[in-house]
Parts: sequence; C-alpha cells; structure tokens
Amino acid sequence: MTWYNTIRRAGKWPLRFPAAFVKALIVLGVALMLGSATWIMSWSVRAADDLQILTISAPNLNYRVELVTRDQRAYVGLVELLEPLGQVRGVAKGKHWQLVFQGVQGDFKQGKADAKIDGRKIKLDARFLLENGRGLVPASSLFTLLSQLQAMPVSYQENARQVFLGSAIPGALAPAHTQVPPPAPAAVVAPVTVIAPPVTPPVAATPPTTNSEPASPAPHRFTVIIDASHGGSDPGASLADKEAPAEKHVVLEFARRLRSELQARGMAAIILRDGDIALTSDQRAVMVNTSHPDLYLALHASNFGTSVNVITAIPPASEDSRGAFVSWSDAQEKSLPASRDAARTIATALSSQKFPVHIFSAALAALNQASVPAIAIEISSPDGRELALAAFQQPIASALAKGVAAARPALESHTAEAHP
Amino acid sequence: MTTRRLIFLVVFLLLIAGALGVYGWHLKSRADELARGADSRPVPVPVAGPTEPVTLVVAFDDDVALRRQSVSLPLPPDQQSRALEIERALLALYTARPSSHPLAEVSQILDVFLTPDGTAVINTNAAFADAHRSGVLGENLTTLSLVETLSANFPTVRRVKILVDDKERDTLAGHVDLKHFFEVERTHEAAQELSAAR
Repeated sequence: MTWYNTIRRAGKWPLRFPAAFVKALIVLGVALMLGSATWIMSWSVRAADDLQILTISAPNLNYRVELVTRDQRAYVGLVELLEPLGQVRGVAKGKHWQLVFQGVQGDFKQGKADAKIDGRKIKLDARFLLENGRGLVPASSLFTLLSQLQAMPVSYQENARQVFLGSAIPGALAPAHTQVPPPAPAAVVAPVTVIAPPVTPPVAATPPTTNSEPASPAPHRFTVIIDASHGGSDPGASLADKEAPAEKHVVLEFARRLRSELQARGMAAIILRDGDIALTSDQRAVMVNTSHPDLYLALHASNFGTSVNVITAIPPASEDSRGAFVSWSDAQEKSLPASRDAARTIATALSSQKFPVHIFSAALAALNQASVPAIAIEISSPDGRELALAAFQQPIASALAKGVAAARPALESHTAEAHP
Repeated sequence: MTTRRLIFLVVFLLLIAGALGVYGWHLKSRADELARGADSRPVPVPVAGPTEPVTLVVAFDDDVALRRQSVSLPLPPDQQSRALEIERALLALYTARPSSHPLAEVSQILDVFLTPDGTAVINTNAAFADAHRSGVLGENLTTLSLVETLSANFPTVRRVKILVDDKERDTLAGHVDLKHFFEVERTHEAAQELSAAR
C-alpha cells in the first residue's frame, strides 16, 4: 500500500479509507477478474466446438460455408462466401486486406470495424479479422456487405443462418429452388460446398405429363419491391424533435409492416433495404430494374402536414434516350401512365379508409430511374414520434396493401405487355 | 521536486487549461451571437420607375396548393434582372412571417440566368437548401413554385435548373432531385395536378 500512503501523505487526500478496506477491495477485484476470465475461456471452448454453417441461396445456386466463432461472434470468410457467386480475390498487405469481387473493390483493416466498398464507407457490426491472409467479417454484417457488393436484393436471416440473394428471396419473382438439402453434419462440411446448382427450372412442383411438350415457364407471381428510403449515413428527414427517430428508421418499420400486409393478401413483397445501410439511387434502380417487379414502392416519412402522400415521378427534361436505349434518368417515362393509374387506385383505397390523401407528382430520382410502375408514399404527421408508432403505421399499411391489391390487375397487364 | 509539489503543479496546470477552455467557449458563444444578430439578407437592387404586373405562383402549405397571384413590381429593363427580381419577390413571401410556405429567413436567390435556347438557371444560396424542411411535399412545393413563377413570366423558358451556391446538388433537402433540369411542360402538369386536387 505504498502508493496509497504516499498520496495520503503528499496531498492530504480527502478520502481516507482504512488500509484493510482497500486491501479487501483489491482482493475482490482480482477474484472477479479471474472468475470472468475462466468463464470467458470455458464459453469460448464451448462455442468453438459448436460448428456453425451458413446457407446461401442465390438464383440457380445454393451452397454452404462454415462460420467460425471469434470474440463470441459468428464470423465468415469473405472470399469463401463470394467465390461461388463470381470472380473474387483477397489480398493482404500488412494490416490491410483488399477484396476485388466482380470489379467492385473493398478495403478492410485488421481490427477495425470501418471498411470501404468502392470508396463508400461502411461500418461492420464488429471488427474485421485477418487470419493467415484470410479475411473474416462478422456474419451479422452480411446484409450490409452483400448489398454493397451485389446489385440485387439481399435478405439475411440471422437466426436461420441463411442468406437469400435476388429472386431466391422467399416470395420473390420466381423461386429458384424447391428443395434445399438439410445441412450436412458438421464434421464433413468443407469450407465451401456448392450444392448442385440447378440450371433448369425445378420440376418437382410440376405434375407429370405424358406428352413431350416442354414444361411451361413458372407462372408470373405479382411482386412488389418496397424501398425503405434513405439509410446508413443518410438519416433522411429529422422528424421534429430530438427524441423522434430519424426518417430512415420510421420507413424501415413501415416497410416491414407493409410487407406483412401484402404477403397476407397473397402478394410477394421484397424489402430493398432491410437494414440500416446506405444505398445510392443508382444502386436502388439497378436492384429494381433487374428484378422486374410489378410495382416499386418507395417509402418516406415527414413532419410536414398530416396526410398520406401518393407521389408519382416527374421525369426530367429528356436527355440521351436513343431508340431502344433509354436514359437512366428517365427510365420511368414508359411506365408513367401505369404508375399514375396505380397511384389513383391506391389513393382511392386510402381515402375510403378516411385517411387524408394528397396525390401529386415530384422529381424523385428513385422514381425517375425505375423502369417499372413506381410510386412513392410519404406518411406525415407534425408529431415525429407518432410516425414511429405501430398504432399509427399499421392502419396505413393495411389500407395501402388494399390499394395495391386493387391496382394489381392493371399492374399485371402492364407487366405482361412490358415483359411478354 | 517532491511528490506534493508535483501534484500541486499538475492541479495548477489543469486549472489553467480549464479556465482557458471556459474563456474560449465564451468567445465562441459571443461570436455566434453577433453572427445571428447580423442581417445577411441581400440589399434589394434599387429600382425606380413605374411598376409592372407580374405573376407569382405561390405555395400554400395548409391546403397543399399552388396559386397564381398578380402583384405589381418595379422592374429593371433587362430580362435577367427582371427574372431575378420576380424570383426574389416570390422568396420574400416565404421568408416573411407569417407565410403560406415558410422558408428560412436567410434563404436567398443569388442569380437567375436566361439563355436564348429556353434554358433558365436559378442559383440559390447554401442556406436556402441547408435550412429547408426535409420532406417530399414541402420540397416539391418550393421547387414547383420557383419554376412555375419563372415560366409564367417568361413563356420562352422550357427547362429550369436549380443550383445551390453556384454548384449542382443532388437534392434540395434529401428528396426532390436537383441534378436534372425541370422540364416546364412537366412541372406545369404537376402544378395543375396540385390545383385540381383541391
């Protein structure tokens, strides 16, 4: 206790504890530290024994990769994960690890949660690990990572340890797989296992036929892509007061409610941003235009007024469209009449449920760049906190889903004409 | 140096650092207060002579509408200065209190350029966008009002670009796209749509 007595003598320390009390405190602290260390070690050993598998379902491809436990978290090797999806290379340079996947470049640093994909900053849920040149990322960040690396919708179901990409997302346009083999026993799973990529459409669901006619293509399934606008570093509107959540959180909750309502009415619904990540309007447009949904719904929230706003695009002054080549910025042009018809139907459904509705056009990049019928919905209330309440969102989501169901026949006709 | 003196020295230095921090904070607060008090709004161009009737397409938040209002303004002879004065007259309605569509008092229209091919450029200051309320409806009313007012008084204008502080900006306040030109034919339809919905 030399240091304690020195301080007491030197500065007349105001807190004078008996030496015995300080000794007891130190002994207690050491005992606590030893206990914690023992518990953490035993937990780590148990976790290491429990081998985990991640299943990835992509269009025409189904495979599994091994998850490893580090820092009490599930991690996955990024190169192993991406290898079946396309050309990938990971190069370690000191503490830095560079990933190149189909022309997209990622930069990671050992021990850091901050990374960059094509120059855009992203934040992983936990630190990046570099082990013998192998880059490991936390599995909980897969949605963020894959959304930036892949130009298609991503769904990550953490509890089921499953990743769905593009049309493989449950309820998406054309289910690519009807049967997913159960995970093999842990002991025989290689780091990467590609499970028979089905090249032809599945026949399990097709009744046996006696003639030799080719199997007809899978019937079209009405699909809505729901875009929870903003996200990540773009919080959207700040809703009135500091206690109110940012627009990006409000619209994500609203998107999930709307998805449930649409699915309950037999429609397939995909959320474009099912997590807190930043997507550019170009990335959103690529995801929408390559998926060919029947309707694209962009969701917004604001504290301006008290209404549900149903918005269609104002395409900008025509730029470089030439023949079959359509300018990116006015891709909506051909679908605009269908968008307006659907907007009117949806507005009518909302009005019939006594919601004050405004229907108008606005220059929104996300709508202008969509080549399919596209509508933005803005829910508004002067009380920003009210916007986040289930009691506020649920009736609107329900009425909105009714409106989409009413617009469905016209939208399906439009899809049939646009993509015969 | 004894341990006791060392402790006194450290405490003394910490006190000085704290006092300097408090003084710095005080200076910053005072500078902010002075900046807030200063009226940074532009001095209007002195225009003499008879007034002329002009049309302003004014946004009304309460009933979400754009309405045409005729006002008389003294206007300079050249077209670009006239366009600037008309847009500033519109903005003055929004920066005044009370207003049908309130915008931040520091919002300004810096320039309006008209070209012979029917292109117009409205250049606003940074505060116009930075302090604008975020939301599709509010941003849409502002942009449509500016574009429609210009086209109502200059029928040769076919497309309008809105710049913020001399630069192109992605959106006004997170929603309405400012990267592209507004086609007057389209904005006219959108304004009529808002009026018809009343």
